[in-house]
Amino acid sequence: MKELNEISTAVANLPGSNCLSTPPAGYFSSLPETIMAKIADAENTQGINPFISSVTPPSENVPEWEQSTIWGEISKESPLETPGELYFQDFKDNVLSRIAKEQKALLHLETAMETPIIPLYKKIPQKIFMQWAAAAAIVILVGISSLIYFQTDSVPANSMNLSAELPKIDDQELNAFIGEQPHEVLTESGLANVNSDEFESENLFSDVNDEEMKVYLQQDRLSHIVNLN
Amino acid sequence: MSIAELDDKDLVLQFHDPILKEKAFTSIIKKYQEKLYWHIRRMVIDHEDTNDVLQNVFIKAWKGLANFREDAKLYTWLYRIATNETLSFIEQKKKNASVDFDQLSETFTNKLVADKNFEPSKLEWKLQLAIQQLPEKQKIVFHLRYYDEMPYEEMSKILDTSVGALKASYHHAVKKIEEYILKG
Repeated sequence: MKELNEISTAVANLPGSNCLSTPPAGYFSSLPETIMAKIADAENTQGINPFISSVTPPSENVPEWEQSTIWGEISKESPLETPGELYFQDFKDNVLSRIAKEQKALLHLETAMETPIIPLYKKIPQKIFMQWAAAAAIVILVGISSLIYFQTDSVPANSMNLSAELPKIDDQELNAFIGEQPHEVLTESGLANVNSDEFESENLFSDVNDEEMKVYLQQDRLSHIVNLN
Repeated sequence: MSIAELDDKDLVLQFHDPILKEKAFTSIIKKYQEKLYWHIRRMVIDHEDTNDVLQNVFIKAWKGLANFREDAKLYTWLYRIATNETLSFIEQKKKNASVDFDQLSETFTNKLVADKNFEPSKLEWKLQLAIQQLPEKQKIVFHLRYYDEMPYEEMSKILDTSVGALKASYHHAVKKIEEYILKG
């Protein structure tokens, strides 16, 4: 009693057994079995953990009257809302369809893994890659240089296209323009493009004497022969 | 004898036959779906969550049944998968919501209170609320023992815990629940 008081005064102060009613029917006939089961339980529990062995477990063989009365009042049926009957009817189909889906996906994955993968490009050794890169750089350099070179020699973009523009100019204007130009210009650059009909060569030599002309031509021929010799 | 009437051992044998595999597995589902459903539902409360977990349980069973040791009981093995899957689910929920045990317990309590049939005065509901105060593993022990009336030896195989420890755990769970209910 002293030990129980040290552990729990509440339990020690509980009413004594003399106030209890007579045991329920069949209690004594089942008592040996209950005791043997308790012994067996205790033997199983001992040696596992001294703390656990000191606890009296409520085993299935503990009579109902030893337990709290509230347990007898509670229904074991769950108060939670039950799913509809169809849920359990359809459940197996849902599970099997998910399994089929997973198997299909697995098969697809296995097939994909079995198929050999052909590389799109073979791995090029670094040395060869560098050689090709250098060659490509030289080709690009030469290409750009020649492009720049030919671009500078060509006609500027803003220059006039003479053959396209010439027919647009009025003939009279053209004659007036040619008439205004000095003869040197015509002989040096533009003579080939001038129509012979429009060029009055007679006017050029009209004031030169025939005799002077003959002397000049003879001298010119002699100097040409000297040069040949 | 129809395939539905076969016992677990025969069902497992049938499962190894490619022709009968699916039929055998269907029978296994039919046989254990309700028991496993309630085992999971009592832990996660929500029907949708239960459905997800239960489906995963059977899928895992399908994958693992080929390697199933015939010396073990099929129902013990299925309960083991269901328990592990449920605990993983709860653990995942805790991680995702970044909550501790007390907050998670509150979440489950709130789910119970939100049930359309909830009646706080009824003892059944008080019991449910009291169970939510228990740690996860103690809850499982209580459910298996109280609702499924599973022998400790079977529970020991499912939970990988000694019979003595399970008895102690159940004892503590009962005491805590009693205290909660009597407090009012």
